[in-house]
Amino acid sequence: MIEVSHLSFAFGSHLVLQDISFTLGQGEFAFLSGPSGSGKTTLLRLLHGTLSLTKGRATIAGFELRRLSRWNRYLLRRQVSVVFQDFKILPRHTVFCNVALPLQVMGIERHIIHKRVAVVLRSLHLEEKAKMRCEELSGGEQQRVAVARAVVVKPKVLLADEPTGNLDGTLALRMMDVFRQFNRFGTTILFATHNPDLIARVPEARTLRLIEGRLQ
Amino acid sequence: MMLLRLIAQGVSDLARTPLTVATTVLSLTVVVFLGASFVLVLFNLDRNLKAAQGEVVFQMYWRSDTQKEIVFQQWTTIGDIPGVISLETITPQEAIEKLQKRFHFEDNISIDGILPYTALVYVRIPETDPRTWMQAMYDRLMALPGVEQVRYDPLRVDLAASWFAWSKRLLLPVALVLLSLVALASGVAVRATVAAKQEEIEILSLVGASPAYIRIPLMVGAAFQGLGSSSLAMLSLYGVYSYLTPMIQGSLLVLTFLPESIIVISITTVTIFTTIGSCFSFRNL
Repeated sequence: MIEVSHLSFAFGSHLVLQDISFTLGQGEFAFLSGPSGSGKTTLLRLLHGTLSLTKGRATIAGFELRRLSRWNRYLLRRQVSVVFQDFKILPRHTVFCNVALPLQVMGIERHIIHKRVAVVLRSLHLEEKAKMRCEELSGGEQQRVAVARAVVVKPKVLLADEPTGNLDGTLALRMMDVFRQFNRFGTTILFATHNPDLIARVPEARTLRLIEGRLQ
Repeated sequence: MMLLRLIAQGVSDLARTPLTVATTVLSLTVVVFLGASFVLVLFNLDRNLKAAQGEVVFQMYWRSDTQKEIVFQQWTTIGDIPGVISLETITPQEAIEKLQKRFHFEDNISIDGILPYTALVYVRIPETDPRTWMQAMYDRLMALPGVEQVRYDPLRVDLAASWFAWSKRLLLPVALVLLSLVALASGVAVRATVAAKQEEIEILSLVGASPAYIRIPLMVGAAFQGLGSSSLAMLSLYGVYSYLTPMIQGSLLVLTFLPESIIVISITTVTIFTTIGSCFSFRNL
């Protein structure tokens, strides 16, 4: 599902990623660990197409990133969802609107959107908050909205960039269980974190350790 | 269906950020109003100068033995020639009366066969090839039966021709530069509205919205703002024009409002540039 081969990336003269190669199969769960500044976010941004690949090759959910034009990146993002540490949700919109957004942009019919959003909100215990504006929610609830939005499209791959970084320990572990649950439905997950407790929570997961831009 | 939904969304989005939209429309209106005011001044200045500079007089003299019926018939014909503004005619009788008044003669003077029929033909020469046009008009007047002499001042024609040439070379580029500046300012002004949606645009892009899905509502919104503000600016300018015209009319200047073509070009340009400006005013992730 994810194939990365000899990938390097630099911001100007600063080399952030060096000769990264790894493969993740369908339904696999992998942690991307490493200290701050080791290149985790950059790697995830490259895989999500928000940064352009300059050296090496990467294929994700069947999309060869080097060949994917700027105008077609949206096709990749309909198969590959992402959850950010800072949520990136629309605070003034309702929970329902935020979760429904990826389905709306795909032009899916309204009644189907209602059904799928309801199912996802229920699984994340957000059904009662559906009509609330996101800015009225707690940090943990907002993060669950971000996760709900990412999984509502049933993505082939889910990239998570320290999604529990803003949550306390218990909430973070509970959120981890949510990710495991979606992984069991066949979604490949690449989860960036430097929290060893989270890594220990999913013993079956692989860990890709990134130190100063290199995979160890 | 999707396209119609996106267009409708572009319109409804305007209501979501009313303050930002109002600010943008207001600033756009001011920019277009100022630009159009300058064009209006230029346009009227050029028009008035052309009217003053482009007027030339032909002095016509008929042979003194020409029958008066023939001359009278020709005066009617001359008045209908395209380009003729007015005709001032003088019969021998009128000429002698004027002379008598001028020199205080009281005796009757016999005028038979002495004084000719004369006319002053005022023409407005065209901007394209004025010298050729004048020559053609001269030939036409000279060819009239009984006409002995036609005179005009070639220096006036040269002056008019050079003014027309300057007008073409200078005023049109100035107007075009002005229009371009207004258009660019319009493009920049609309960025404020789009900038207010930057976060939403990024999120839409991250969740898989196609470029068309993101851009169409923005373009529709920007087009509406451009169309609305430029129309508002033109209406305001017309209001100012209507207010000022009675005060100025009757003096040397004759004010005319901008022709429809310039109004349409201005509104279209602003609308197009705001639409294009909206496309290039956000970071596409």
